[in-house]
Amino acid sequence: MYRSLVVAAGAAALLAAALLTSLAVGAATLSPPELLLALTDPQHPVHVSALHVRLPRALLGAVAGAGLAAAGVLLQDALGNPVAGPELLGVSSGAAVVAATATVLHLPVPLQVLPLLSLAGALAAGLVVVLAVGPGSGPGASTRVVLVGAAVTAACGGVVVAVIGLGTEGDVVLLMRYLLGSLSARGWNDLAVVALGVVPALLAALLLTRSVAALRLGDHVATGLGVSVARVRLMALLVASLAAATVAAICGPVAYVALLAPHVARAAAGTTSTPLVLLVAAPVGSTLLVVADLASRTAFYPVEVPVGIATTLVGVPLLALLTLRGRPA
Amino acid sequence: MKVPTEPVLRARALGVGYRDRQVIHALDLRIEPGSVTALVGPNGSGKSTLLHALARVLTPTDGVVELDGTPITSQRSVAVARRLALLPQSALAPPGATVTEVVDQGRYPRTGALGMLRRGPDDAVREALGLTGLEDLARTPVAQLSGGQRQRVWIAMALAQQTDLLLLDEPTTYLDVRHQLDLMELVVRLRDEQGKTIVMVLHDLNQAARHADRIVALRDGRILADGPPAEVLTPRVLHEVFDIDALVLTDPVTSRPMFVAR
Ligand SMILES: Nc1ncnc2c1ncn2[C@@H]1O[C@H](COP(=O)(O)OP(=O)(O)OP(=O)(O)O)[C@@H](O)[C@H]1O
Ligand SMILES: [Mg+2]
Repeated sequence: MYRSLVVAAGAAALLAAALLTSLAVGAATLSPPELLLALTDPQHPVHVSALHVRLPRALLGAVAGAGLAAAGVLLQDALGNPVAGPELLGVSSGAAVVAATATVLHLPVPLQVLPLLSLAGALAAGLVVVLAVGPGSGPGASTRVVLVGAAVTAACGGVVVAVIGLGTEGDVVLLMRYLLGSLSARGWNDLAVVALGVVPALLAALLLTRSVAALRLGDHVATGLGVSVARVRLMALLVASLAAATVAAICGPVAYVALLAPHVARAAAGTTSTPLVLLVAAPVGSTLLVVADLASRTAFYPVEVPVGIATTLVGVPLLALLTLRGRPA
Repeated sequence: MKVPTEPVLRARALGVGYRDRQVIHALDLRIEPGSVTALVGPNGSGKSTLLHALARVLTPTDGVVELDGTPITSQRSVAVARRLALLPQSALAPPGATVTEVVDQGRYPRTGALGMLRRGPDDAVREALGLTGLEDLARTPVAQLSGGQRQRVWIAMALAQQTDLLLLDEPTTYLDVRHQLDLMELVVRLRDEQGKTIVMVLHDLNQAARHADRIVALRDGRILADGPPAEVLTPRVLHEVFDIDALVLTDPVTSRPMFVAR
C-alpha cells in the first residue's frame, strides 16, 4: 500500500517532468521561465504555438495515456488475461471505418464533428464485441473476447481497405492520422472530447477495481464473496471500451500503452492488487504516452513519426524485458 | 434432549444440475445453528454441487435454498456473503498475488467499492492469518506456496469473511497430519467459542466421525444416511454408500466410531 503510493507519486512527478519537457521542446526550445512567459504573454512570439499547439497536445497525451492504462488494467484483470488490451475490443478499427468513409467519400462532415462520428464508430465496435461476448465464465469470456474482437477488427479492416481503394492519394495522406496513432495537430477540442470520455471512465474504473480484483480468484470464489460476476465483468468491459474508444477516435490506434502500463505498474509497485495497480498505472500510462509523443516529434526532427510507431518501438523491447523477468501475468 | 431450533440453512426439494445433467435430486436438508456437519460420499456423488447450491454459487433447477428462512437467491449477494463463506474445492491462485492480498479479498463483503482506500490488512485478516499459521508467509506470492500452504490461504480467506456460517469443500486436502488436526480443532473451537455453523465435505470418514456432530452421506445426489456419527458410521451404511466391507470399532481416545476396511 505504502510502496504503491510512493510509486504513484513518483510516476506523477515523472509525468510532470515529461509534460514540462514536452512543452519546452519544439521548433523553438524554451527555458522554463521563457515557457511561462510564452504561455501567459499574448505578445510573445511563440505564444500561440505554446498555448494552442504544444499545451493541448501534451495534455492530450497525458489524458489519453491514463485512459489507455485504465482500460488495460480492467481488461487484464476482468478477463484474467495478462496480455489483454483495447486492441481486443476492435475500437480503433471501428473509428477507422468512420474516418475512412467520411474522408474518402468526401461526406459533408464538419471537421469538428468528425471526431464525434469516429467516436460513435469506435464505441459501436466495442459494444458489438462486449455484447457478443455476453456474461459467462472467466476463461471462456476471455477466449470469446479474443475471437469476437478479432472478427470485428478483421471486418472493419476489410471495409477500410475497400474504402481506401475508392479514394485518391490525397485522401490516403489524410487518413494516415487515423490508421497510425498520432497526437499531431490535436487541439483543445480534441482534448475536450478525450477528457469527456476518459475522466468518467477513470472514476468508474476506480469504483470497479475492488470487484474486478475479486474476479481474479475465479467466478465461484468471487460469487461467494458477493460479487455479481457477470455484471462486474460487463461493466469493466464497457468502461474499458469507453476509455479506449474515445482515445481511438481522436488519436487513432496507440499500441502497447494499455498493455504495458499495468505491467510496469505491477513491477514497480510490487503488487498485483487491482486498485493499487490502477492507481500507479494511470500516471505511468500518461508518462509513457507523453514521452513517446515527445520522442516521435523530436527523434527525426523536422519529420514526425506517428506516436503509434514510437509506442510500438518502445513497447516491444519493454514487453520482452518484462517477460524475461517473468513479471507479466 | 435438544430443543428443536430453526435451521440457519435449509434445502427444500432441492434439485441441482449442469446443462442436461441432473446431479442433486429432490434433496431436503436442515442445518442447525452452532453445529458441525460433515458431508461424505464417493467421488462424483454431488457433494461439491450441493455445497455450491447451498452457497448460491450454483442456481438450483428445482426447489429452494433458504438462509435464515428466506430464499437465498432473493437476498443481496453481498448480504449473503456477510452470513456465509464458501471454501471451494479448487480455487484459482491469481498470478503474482501475495498471501495477504488474497486473504484480504475475504473482506470484500464488508468494505465496499472504496475498501481499497483502507490503510492495509485489517484485524480480521491478521487474525485469519494467525489462525491458519500463515503469518510468516504473509508476503509470499500464493503461486509459490506448497499445496497445503495454499489450501490454508483459501481457508484464511473464508475466515476473514467473519461469517457465522462456513461451507468448506474438502478443507483438509493437501494438509499434513498436524495441520489437519489443527484445522479440525479450529473448526470445533469456532463452533464452541463463537457459535459458528460449519458444513464441510470430508473424505476421511474417521475424521468426520471424530469431529462432526452429524454426518450426511450422499450417493448419486441423494442422502442415504443422516445422523450422529454412531448412526451413520455402520457397516451397512458404509456398504451402501461406498461399496466397502468394513469393521466398525470404537475409537479408544474419543469413544466415537471408527472404521477399518476388511
Ligand atoms: N461444471 C460441471 N459441469 C458439468 N458437470 C459437472 C460439473 N461439475 C460437476 N459435474 C458433475 O456432477 C457430478 C457431481 O460432481 P461433484 O463435483 O458435485 O462431486 P463430488 O461429490 O464433489 O466429488 P469429489 O469427491 O470428486 O469432489 C459429477 O458426475 C460431475 O461429473
Ligand atoms: Mg467435490
